[in-house]
Formats: sequence, structure tokens, C-alpha cells
Amino acid sequence: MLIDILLSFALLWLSFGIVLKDDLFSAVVYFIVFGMILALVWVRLFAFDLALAEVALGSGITGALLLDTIAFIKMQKKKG
Amino acid sequence: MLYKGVLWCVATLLLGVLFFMLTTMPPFSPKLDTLVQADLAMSGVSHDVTAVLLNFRSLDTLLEVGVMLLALIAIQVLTPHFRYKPFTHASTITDMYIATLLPLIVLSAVYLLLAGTYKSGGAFVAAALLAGGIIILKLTKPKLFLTLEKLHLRFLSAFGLLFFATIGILSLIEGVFLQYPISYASIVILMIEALLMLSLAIILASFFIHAVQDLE
Repeated sequence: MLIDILLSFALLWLSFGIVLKDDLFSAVVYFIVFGMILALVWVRLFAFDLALAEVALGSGITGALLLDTIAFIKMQKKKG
Repeated sequence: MLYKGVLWCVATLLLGVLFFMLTTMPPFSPKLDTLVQADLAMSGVSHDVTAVLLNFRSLDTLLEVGVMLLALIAIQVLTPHFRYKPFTHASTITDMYIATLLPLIVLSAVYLLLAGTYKSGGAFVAAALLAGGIIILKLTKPKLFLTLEKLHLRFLSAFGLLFFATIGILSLIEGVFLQYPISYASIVILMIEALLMLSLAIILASFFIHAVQDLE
């Protein structure tokens, strides 16, 4: 019960972080951690397949794509 | 400052709408569950989620795969404008890492695929895992991907959908679109799932691979 409350508050905090962080990199890190915590929530709801998909797609692939986007933006800025 | 204020307003509005929908949602009805359980024996699999995804509502799954293929095509159209040299690391550490990790990923993907017939799992989850493996491979061994035939890859990424649709058309001869005969149902579902896993893994990994393309 306590862990559910903790998880939901963590999700709320992380989602605020995703939207409000000025630094893109930390926003992406927040997003990846958000996906992992959300996966834990799915596990708590006994939806193990959703949990795995959330980790692999939500955190893994989307996270990798977003990190790559940041690298691309930085490179474009360097070019001028 | 104004930008943040607007963001706050939109977020609050969204939260309000979500809360409203949560409170006005119709109560969970066990009727659907009893319907699924009643017909589970006819579906060819013993897990209710897989039965719904690949038998009772297989048209939805077919269209879902179609949507992912469309997304891939859109990305393939866009990427020539975004070519650059990605940042990669190659060392003995990463070599050892992928040598241990990749077989495990493939093994767990196949396990998830087979487990999908009787408990949580199935093609989508397995494909997500495989795609993760391919992305790791791309990040550590980018040279492997230079020799890939683009045409083969395109064919493979569409193959799952093609097979799924072919099964649908074949079932049309007997009766209704995508309604498999009960005696073949389990083997047909397993074949569709296996091919979907391969295609979806390639589609998902291509999202990344096409976005991060080497300068030639």
C-alpha cells in the first residue's frame, strides 16, 4: 500500500520534472526514469507484459531516440 | 516566463480533463471478462490477453502493425535530411558486454513469444526486447549495419503485416476475415506471432537506425 503511494508521488514528481526542466538532458533522464517507475506501477497492477513493453519501448527506445535528438541538436548548434 | 505560464495552464487543464474522465468513467464491468473466458477454448490459446489480441480482436492488431509500418515509412522519407555521424564507442568492454547480453536478449524474446500462448507475453513485448538488442548492437558495432541490404530490410519489416493480411484473406475463403478455423487456430496464431515479432523488432529498431545514420 505504502509503496503504491510512493510510486504515484514519484510519478507525479518525475512528470513535473519532464515538463519543467530547462535543461533538455535532465528532462530526458527524468523521462527515462519515469518510464521505469511506470513499469513498476504496471507490475503492481499485475500487467507484466505492459511493464516489459513500457521499459523496452517507453524508456529504452524512446529514451535512446531522445538522447540522440539532443546530440543532434547540440551538433547543429556547434555548426552555427 | 510567458511560455512557462502557458505550459502550466495547459498542464493544469489536461490534469482537470483527465480527473473529470477518471471520475465519470463507467464502472468496470466483469461482463467482458466472462465473454472472453467463455470463448477461450475456441481461440487456440489459453491466455486471455493473447486470445483477445490475436483472435477475437485480431483486426485491431493487424491495423496496429500497419500504423507502425506507416510510421517507419514516414521516418525513412525524412531521414535523408538528417544524416550525421553518430557517437559510438567500441572497446573490449562493450564487445564482452554484447557477447553476453545479445544471446540472453534473443533467448528471452523467444521465451516471451512462446509464453504468450499461456501467460503474459507475446509478439509485441518480444519484439520490443529484440529491438533493444539490435539498437545496442548498432551503438557498439555500427560497421555491421553498413553492409545491410536496404531492400531486404524493407521486405522483412513489411513481412509480418503481409503474412497477417494473407492469413486474413485465406480465412475469407472459409468465412469471415481473420477468423481462423478452431483446429488450426493455435498454430496459425503462433506463426503470426513469430513473424510479427521479427517484423516489429526490425521496424522498432529501424526507427532508431534510420534516425542515426552514418555519414558515408
